[in-house]
Amino acid sequence: MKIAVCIKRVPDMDVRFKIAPSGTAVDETGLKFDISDFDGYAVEAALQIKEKLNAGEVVVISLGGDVVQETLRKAMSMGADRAVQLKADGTHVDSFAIASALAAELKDGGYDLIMFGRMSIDTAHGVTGAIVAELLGLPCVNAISKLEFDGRTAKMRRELEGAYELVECALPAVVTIDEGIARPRYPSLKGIMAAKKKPLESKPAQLPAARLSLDALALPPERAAGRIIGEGTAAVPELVRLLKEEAKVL
Amino acid sequence: MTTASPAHAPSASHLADPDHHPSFTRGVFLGEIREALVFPFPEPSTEEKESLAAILDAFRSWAADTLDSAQIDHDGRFPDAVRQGMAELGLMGLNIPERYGGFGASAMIFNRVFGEIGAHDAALAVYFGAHQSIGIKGIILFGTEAQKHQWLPRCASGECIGAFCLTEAGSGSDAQAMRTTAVPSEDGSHYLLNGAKIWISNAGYAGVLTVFAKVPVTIDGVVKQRVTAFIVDAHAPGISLGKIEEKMGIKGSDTRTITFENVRVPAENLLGEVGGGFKIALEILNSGRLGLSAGSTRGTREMMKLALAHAKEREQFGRSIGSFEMLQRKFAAAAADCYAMDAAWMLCAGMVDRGGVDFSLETAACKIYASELAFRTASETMQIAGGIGYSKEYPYERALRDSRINMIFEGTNEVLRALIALMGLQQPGEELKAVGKAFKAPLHSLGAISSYLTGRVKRTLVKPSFNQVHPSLKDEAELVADNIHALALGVEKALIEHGKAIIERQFLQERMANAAIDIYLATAVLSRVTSVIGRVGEKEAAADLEVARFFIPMAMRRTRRAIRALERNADDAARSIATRALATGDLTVPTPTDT
Repeated sequence: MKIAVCIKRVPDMDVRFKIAPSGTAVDETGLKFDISDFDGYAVEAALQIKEKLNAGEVVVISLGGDVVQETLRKAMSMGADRAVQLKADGTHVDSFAIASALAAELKDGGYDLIMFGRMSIDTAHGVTGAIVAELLGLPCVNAISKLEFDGRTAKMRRELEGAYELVECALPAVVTIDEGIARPRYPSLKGIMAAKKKPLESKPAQLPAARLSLDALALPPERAAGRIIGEGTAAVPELVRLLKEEAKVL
Repeated sequence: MTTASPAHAPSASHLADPDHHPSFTRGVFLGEIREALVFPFPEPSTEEKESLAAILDAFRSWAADTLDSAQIDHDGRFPDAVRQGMAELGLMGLNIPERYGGFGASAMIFNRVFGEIGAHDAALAVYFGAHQSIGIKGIILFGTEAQKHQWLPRCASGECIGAFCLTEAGSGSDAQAMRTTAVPSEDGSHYLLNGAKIWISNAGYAGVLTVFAKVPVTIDGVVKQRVTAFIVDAHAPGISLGKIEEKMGIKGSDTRTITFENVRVPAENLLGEVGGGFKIALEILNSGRLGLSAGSTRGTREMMKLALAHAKEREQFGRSIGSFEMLQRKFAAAAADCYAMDAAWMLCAGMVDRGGVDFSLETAACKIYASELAFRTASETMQIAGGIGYSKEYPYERALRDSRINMIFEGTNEVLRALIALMGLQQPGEELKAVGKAFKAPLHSLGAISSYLTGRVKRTLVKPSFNQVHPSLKDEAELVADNIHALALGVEKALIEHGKAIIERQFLQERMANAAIDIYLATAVLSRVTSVIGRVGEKEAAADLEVARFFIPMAMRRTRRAIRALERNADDAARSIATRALATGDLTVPTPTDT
């Protein structure tokens, strides 16, 4: 089975972000970057399929500047066979444009399965996979938490609120991956060594003109500092009064 | 003695062979600055940096998900998932050559990773280090091709863990006093191993042991005991394990006694040659000390992060306690020490990787300074944290317990100080001896005398100097050079005064070693900052320069005092007081009672 996994390089979200002087991007100084969480699950799921079938190929694809090569290298150190960088400098926010560039690359790749994370953890649009499926005329199943095969049929499970849904579709197909499908493995030293020798192809992204632009980014307002009213039970009445009258939460 | 067959010849070309390779610190004892050995500061290649980043990234995310150091400390063992994870990551084969299934990391990369492991969990660093730094290092350095193929692939996968078996009840620092024996069978097919080794890290996990034992060798009709190294299958019949030692710290590390009772060791498991064991042990420990140094330094930084956060948060008298200068002194000193210590071990790792350099004195210097730094800082961070530092709920007390061992194992700091001093004294001592002999027959030995006198005149009049240090560190470089000059003169004077008895003069040896250690660290800082300036320019290197200008004068003040005390000291009084205390077994000064 030939599988493509489209991955995005995103900043580590456990930090306090600053907005760059441009006002439309995050200040990247000191940020750590990695594969977006759901994309990492997708890579792991793809690797497990290949290992289970003991055949096939896993190709990772990412759109971006040369910095995404590090992200692709990491996916290869986890076990992906080769990588494609769709080179495009700068920030891209139009999911349709990105999906078009990905579709152009995927179209003649002969992939049986095209995988995405269900959304990126930084911008969380969650539509790129679906648009790619539409552009390629393929069936698409979103946010799956389980994936098995019966010949050329994919059998999937989607988690709903208090229930789940079982879905089938014929290959080739596009699927987007939810967490819970598989915990991404840590790259091993062997994997890191092997990744250095695996092919990483870089080609210009065929990006159509963006029809969407990001105009401004803003941080939520700062919370006011806490206040210590007193200590012990003596402080309770005053606390209750303030919660009622000032904070108006009681 | 048996002669080494080519198959047994050590294959590593990078060994610290003191007889053939130049040493920076030995040069210092002669008043020389062997600049080519310490410049330029070693920098990993871009490819190495990428690999390192990937390895550290993988380890950190694994550790964040898996390691619970407080739990490990409490339980006194690693959960299986920890050892399994280390194996799956491939870390157990980090410094095993690629063709035996390892990663083949350079000393620089290996020790950076070692440091990261140490910063996360000291016991895990000991597990990792006892395996690779010392447990199987002998096979990597001295094993035959067949031995490497037999053991290393399984060691690299983490399936077979190594342990290093040198210490015995009656033989710690004094390895020659060992009693474990390996007697060859009549037909020469195997050795019978008998004895017991204590304090063996990884004993309970081990699949393969590097064991040192005495082999009887007949030389000119006299039987002599020669220390010899063996590779021993840890599951061989006759091997038994003691109970797990309950230790003060590094509790997850499995430490036990291993007893050998008529263990049959196949002759092909001989490591190196018969009688070569002592040298092999020293070689293994030489490079092993670097991991301990990197781990201690990185661990120090990690503990200080906690203390810094606490000092910023905790308020007393209406301000953060970090704003008080008594605490700032602690932070500045630890920051400078860590900077210097990183420079020192990295410079040394560069020597290991380059090869052809005797780095034994420098690894000893690193181990001493780093282990004392880690313990001192663990104590300082506890002090900064105050009451909560003493509570088991916080990691400060664990750091204090965990870091204490570093001053004891892999060579006590005392024995390493003696080693630095005595090895440093070797060449100046020999020169003086030759001259002493020459003076008994001056007419035949004019050459020796005049060459000594030329050297002496040169040493007295011509101060050595650094030529590759960046001009902005001119004053600091001069300060270091002055102290190198002063040390060499002090050493010579001490040798003339004490002659052979210098071997007993450990009051002096300790000072010489301390001076040599500080000189090496200061030199490493000169080299590192020069390299930083070369890379980013003087303006961008302002913080590095500031640390250098803080550390070097501080270290050189200590050095100046140590050198001065080679001549002017109260050693006679110290000896007398100590001797009396030892005789009475009590420190009480026997003041006569009033009549």
